[in-house]
Amino acid sequence: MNDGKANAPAHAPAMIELRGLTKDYGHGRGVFDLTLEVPEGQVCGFLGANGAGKTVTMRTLMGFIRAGRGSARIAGLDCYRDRARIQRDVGYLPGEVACPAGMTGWEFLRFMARLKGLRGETTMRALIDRFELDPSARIGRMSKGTKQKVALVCAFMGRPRVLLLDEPTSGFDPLIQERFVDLVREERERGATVLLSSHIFPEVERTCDRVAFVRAGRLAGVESMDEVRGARRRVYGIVFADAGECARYRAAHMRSPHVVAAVRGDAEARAADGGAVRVGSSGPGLRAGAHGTSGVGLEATVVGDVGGFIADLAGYRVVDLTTREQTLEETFLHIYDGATAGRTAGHAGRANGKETRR
Amino acid sequence: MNPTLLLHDLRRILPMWTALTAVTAAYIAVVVAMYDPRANEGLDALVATMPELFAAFGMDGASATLSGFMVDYLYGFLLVLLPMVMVVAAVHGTLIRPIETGSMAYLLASPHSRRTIAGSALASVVASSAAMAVAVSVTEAVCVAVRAPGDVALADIAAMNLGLLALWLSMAGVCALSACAIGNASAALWTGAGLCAAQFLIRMLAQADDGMDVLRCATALTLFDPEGLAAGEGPAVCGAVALAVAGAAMCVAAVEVFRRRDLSL
Repeated sequence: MNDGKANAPAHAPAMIELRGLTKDYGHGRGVFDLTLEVPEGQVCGFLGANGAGKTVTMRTLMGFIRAGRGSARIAGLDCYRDRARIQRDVGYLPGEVACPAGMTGWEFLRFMARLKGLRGETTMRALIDRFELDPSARIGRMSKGTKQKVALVCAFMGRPRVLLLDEPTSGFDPLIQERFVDLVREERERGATVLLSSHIFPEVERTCDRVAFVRAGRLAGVESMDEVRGARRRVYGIVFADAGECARYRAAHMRSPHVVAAVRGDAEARAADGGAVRVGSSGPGLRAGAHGTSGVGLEATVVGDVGGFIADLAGYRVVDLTTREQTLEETFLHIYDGATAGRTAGHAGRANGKETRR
Repeated sequence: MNPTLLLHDLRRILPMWTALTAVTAAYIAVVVAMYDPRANEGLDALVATMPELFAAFGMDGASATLSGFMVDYLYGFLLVLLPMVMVVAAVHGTLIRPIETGSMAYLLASPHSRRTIAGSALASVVASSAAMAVAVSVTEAVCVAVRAPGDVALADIAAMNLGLLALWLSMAGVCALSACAIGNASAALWTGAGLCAAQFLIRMLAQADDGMDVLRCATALTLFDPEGLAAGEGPAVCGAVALAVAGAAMCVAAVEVFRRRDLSL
């Protein structure tokens, strides 16, 4: 596992710099001892489940809230003390879009352009065209996606040096998400530094150079996107012909010490959510963790040779096989396997912001 | 203060300002039209039937002049209450609601200090109050000119309404301070509005019963003495200045609190 500093390329100065950032809201909420550097010109994903501390970090970087301990700096300036000065170079897309409902999109964008001291509307209009935005309606009557487009145009129209994007595509359809990805790539080419907070893996995967994982308010690690891609696995949902066949598969893949450890971990998960029981499996050419919610079906997480997994599966009576991408949580657990996974396996079942501090 | 922000905030206040100013002007016209020295005996008889109730609203029925009549029937009640609603709504629209809805995030994401942002919001509240005072003065001057030309000097109207503006500024200060100091939007709104309303209610109690006269010391409204201002009396002028200074001090404190507070937007 790497910390934020260790992963920062030595040749580029840090544009965004968090050092021991702590903001404690009690009951494990907030961020704790967060250290991260984003060099100039880099797009850094900031990943974590809901409630992991992403938005708190963004707000601290924007100077909305004061760090309890540690520091947050952009371009060497303190984010709280020098917040007005920093805003000249920052474009911000809040997680919750709350543009004034009584204004039309045009009124809001022109108001913000005046407020930011922007001259001309060339970039604004180009972004409006690009995202097929109709800014003539009142914002209060716009759909969530359209409001998100207004906020996005507002964040990008000043061509800032730093972009802080808090879950930027949550309201977009796939086509607009695609255009957003292209836009972020262009901004990177232009030299902008981007911190993109998200819990949507594909969005981060296609835009970011590096990715920082935050969990329960603490930085779990920073990896290059290539490393994350390499560690990512697929999850297969297997439905067997009957419960006996399912039990046979389960028993056959519970023989290794690795599997036993997985079962222990997941016993905690079941206690937490009352749902899934996982079993682990291991065999030639594959390593799999599986969990099922009924007597005839289970899910297997496969790494390495998928052919080996399928060949192994051919020995069983299978009636259905589906596949899905690993969730961020699962990817995270695999990347930080071993000691970290052992500590956090109990949390894995408590998805969607129900995490507790380690 | 930033002109773009100021105009933006003034636009927010304008619809409600227009409605309340129109209602206030209509009331002024009706009250001035009701003034008839020959019918004063009848009005006094009416007041005598429920003296405590009328006194609570500052109407003692003893006004022999149009100036006194206006003080009794306008400055004791309508010109305090209606502008108070305007001030509370203006502070709500420019400070409390943007924080509550999160739209304040966009203002804070601009290269302007919090002092500028909050200062512009409060400047819009002060400007709308001043505009209302001007509208009240003009309406009164026109109504007096039509109903009883020469009965009330323009200087007297101006003096009374300057004092009135000082009273409104003190209310704006209370509302602004509660808006900036209290994190919960509803609590911020009702604390400010409640404190202003409480001042008014305390004065009503003090006026309704001589035994509760001591309550005059518990309300800032006591510092507002329109008759004294019209007469140019020193204590009345000092009271108005004290209200204005208190309002300004609370606005400055509100800006400082806003500058330092965490805003989870």
